[in-house]
Amino acid sequence: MITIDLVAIALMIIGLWGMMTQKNLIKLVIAFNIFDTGVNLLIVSVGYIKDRMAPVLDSKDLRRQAEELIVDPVPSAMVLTSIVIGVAITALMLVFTVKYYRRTGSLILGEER
Amino acid sequence: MPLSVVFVTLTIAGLIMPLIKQRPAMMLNLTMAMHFLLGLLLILIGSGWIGTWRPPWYENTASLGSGVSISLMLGTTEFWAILAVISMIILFILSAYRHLRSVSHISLLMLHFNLVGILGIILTRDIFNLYIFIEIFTLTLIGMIKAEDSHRSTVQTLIFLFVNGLASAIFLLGTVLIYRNFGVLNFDVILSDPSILNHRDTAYASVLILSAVLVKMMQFPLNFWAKPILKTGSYPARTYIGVIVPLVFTYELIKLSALIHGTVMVFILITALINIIYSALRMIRCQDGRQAFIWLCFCLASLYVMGALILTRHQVFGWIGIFVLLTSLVQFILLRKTSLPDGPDPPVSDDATALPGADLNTAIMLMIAYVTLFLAAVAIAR
Amino acid sequence: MRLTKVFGKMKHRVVLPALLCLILTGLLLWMWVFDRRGFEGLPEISRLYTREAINTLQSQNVITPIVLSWRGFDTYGEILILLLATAGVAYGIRTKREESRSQRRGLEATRIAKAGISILQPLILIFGAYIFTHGHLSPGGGFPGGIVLSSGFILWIITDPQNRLRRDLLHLLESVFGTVYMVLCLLGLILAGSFMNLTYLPAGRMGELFSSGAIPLIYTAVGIKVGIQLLQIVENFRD
Repeated sequence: MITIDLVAIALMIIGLWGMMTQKNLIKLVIAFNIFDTGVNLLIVSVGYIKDRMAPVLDSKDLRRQAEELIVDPVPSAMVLTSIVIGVAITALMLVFTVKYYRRTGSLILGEER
Repeated sequence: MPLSVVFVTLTIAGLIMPLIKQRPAMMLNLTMAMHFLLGLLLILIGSGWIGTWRPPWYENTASLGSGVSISLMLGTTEFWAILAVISMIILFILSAYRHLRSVSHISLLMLHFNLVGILGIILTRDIFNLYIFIEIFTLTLIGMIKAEDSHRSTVQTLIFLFVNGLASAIFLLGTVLIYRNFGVLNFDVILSDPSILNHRDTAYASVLILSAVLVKMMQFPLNFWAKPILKTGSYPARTYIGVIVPLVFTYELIKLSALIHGTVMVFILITALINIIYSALRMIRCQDGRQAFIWLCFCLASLYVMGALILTRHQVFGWIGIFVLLTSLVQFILLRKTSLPDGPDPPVSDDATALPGADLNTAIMLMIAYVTLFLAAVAIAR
Repeated sequence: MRLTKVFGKMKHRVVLPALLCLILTGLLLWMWVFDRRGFEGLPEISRLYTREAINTLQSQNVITPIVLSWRGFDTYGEILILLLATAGVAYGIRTKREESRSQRRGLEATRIAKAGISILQPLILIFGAYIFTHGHLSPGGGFPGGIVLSSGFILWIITDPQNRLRRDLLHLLESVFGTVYMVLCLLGLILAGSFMNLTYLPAGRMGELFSSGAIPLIYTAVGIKVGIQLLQIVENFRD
C-alpha cells in the first residue's frame, strides 16, 4: 500500500504548494480540495491489510470468518465523515468567493476596487 | 463539594454583574481568568485530597494512585469548563444584547450551534469526535464574523475559512497517525497507556494535533487570521473571538496535555513565551484601546497555554501563585491603559481593511513553516 | 544588482514555498512510509464492531452499523455541519434579487439535454433511492444516495433557468426528515437501552432487504435529508 501513501503525500504537497503560491480564489479552493483529498486517501490507506477483502460480506466464507478476511472498517467510516465535512467547507468558501467577486469584480484577494 | 462550586460561581457573578454595563469586554476577560483559575485549583486540591494521584504520563509511574483514574480528573475539568463557558456565554449575551438585536436570525442560529460545538468539545472522549465538534465550533464562528453585511467581513471570513480548514485537515492527519499505530481513538485508553504515550509516532501525531489547536487558539506565529477580525470586526465578533475561543481551546489543551512530551512541551512554551513578551510590549506601547485589546487577546491566549501546560504537568502550588500574579497584572494594565469603545463601532477607514495581495499566501506559508519546524524539531530530538 | 532583485522577488514567491514543500515531503515520507507498521490483523475495536455487526444486527455491510451506531455521533455532527453549510450559503449569498434575475437569461440548455431529462430523471431518482435503501447490503448508503437523488433534481434545474423548486417545501421536508432521524435514534434509548442503539427492530437474516434493525429506515431519512440539503445549496447558488 506504499504506492497509495506516496500518491496521497504527493497530492497533499501539491495542494499545499497551490495554497502557498496561488492568488486566485478559485485556484485556492481547488488547492484546498486537493489537500483534503490527499488526507482522505491517507486515511483510507490506513485501514488496508494485505490480501484482504472489502468489508461487505457477500459470500458464505466471508461471513463465517469475517474477522480474518476483511480490511479495517473503521477508517472507511471516518473517511465518509471527513469527505462530507470537506464538501461543507468548500461550499462555504465558494459562497464567500461569489460574494467577493460580486463586490469587487475580481477573483484575486487584495485587488479591491 | 458541587454545592460550594455553584455558590462560588454565583457570588462571583453577582460581584461582576454591576460592572458589566460599564466595561463588558474587560469583565468577560476577568471572569474567564477567574473561572480558569478556580477550575485548575479544584483539580489540584482534588488530586491532593484524594491522595497520591499522579498523571500516568509521569516518568515515575510506580506511585500511581489506587483506584483514581484519569477519567475522574478529566471529569472535574469538564464540569468546570461547562460552568465557565455557559456563564461566559450568558455574560456575553447580556453585554452584547443591543448589538445582537440588530443581527440577523441566522447569526443567532449559528450562536446556538456554537454552544453545541463547545459542549461537544468539552465533553467528548474521542479524538475523531473532537475533530467533528471543533469543525462545528469553527464553522459557526462565521456567523459572528459575518454578523454585519460588509465587504471587509467577507474578506475576513475567506481568510478564516482557508486557515481553519487547513488546520482541521492537519488535526485529522494527527488523529489518523494515532489510529494507524495503535488502533485506538479513545482518550481514556490513550492517556492510561504509557506504551502509547512514549511511542515515536505519538510525538509526531501530537505535533500535528497541537499545531492545529494552536492555530485556532491565536498562538504566536499563527495569530495572523485573528488580527483583522479583532481589528476591524464588529463588537460581538471581536469580543467573542477574543474571549471564548482561547478559553475553549485551553480546556482542549488540558485534555490533550498528556500528548505533550519533552521537546513538544519546550517548543510550545518557547512560542508562548515569545508571544507573551511581544504582545505585552506592543500592548503597553500602543495608545488606541482597540489595538490594545488585540494584543491583550494574544497575550492572554498564550498565558492560558502556559498556565494549562505548567499547572497540569507539575503539581506545584507555587506556580498557581505566579499564574495568578501574572494574570492579575495583565488585567490591571488593561484597566489602566485601555478604554474600550463599548458603544456601536465607529466606521473603519478603508486603509485599515486593505490587505496586501500576498496576505493569505504568506499566512498559509507561515502556518506550514511552523508545522514543519515543529515536526523537524521533534524528529531531530527523537 | 539586477540578479539580486530578481532573486529577491523570486525568493518570496517560489523559493520559500518550494523549500518548505521539500522539507515537509521528507518529513511526511519519514513519518508515513519508512518504518511503516501497518496492521497485522484487525485492531481490537474493529474486531468487536465486526462481531457485533454480524451477530446482533445481521448487517451485510460492516461499515454501515459503525457509521450509524457506534460512531453515530460523528454522523450526527456531520449532518449538523451540512445544515450549517446550507444556512451559511443562504446567509452569505443573499443580495438584491433584481440584479441576479436579469443575469440568468442566457443560460438555455440544448435540445438533447431537454429531451434526455424526462427519461433520465426517474432513473436517477430510482437509483438514488436504491442506494440509500440498500446501504446495509452494498457499498453506498445515505450520503451517496442523497447526492445521487439531488443530482436528478439538479439536472432538471439546469436544463431550464425557469425551473424553480419550492423552497418552503424543501425546508419542510428537510426538517421533517431531520426529526425522523433524531426520533429513530432516540427510540434506541427508549426501547433498546442506549442512544443510537439500532437493535430495537428485528435483525432478520443477513442479505435481505428488511434486515439489520432500523438501519434501512435511518439511512432513508438521512439520504433524503442530505439530498435536500445539497439541493438547497445548489438552489441558493443560483441567485
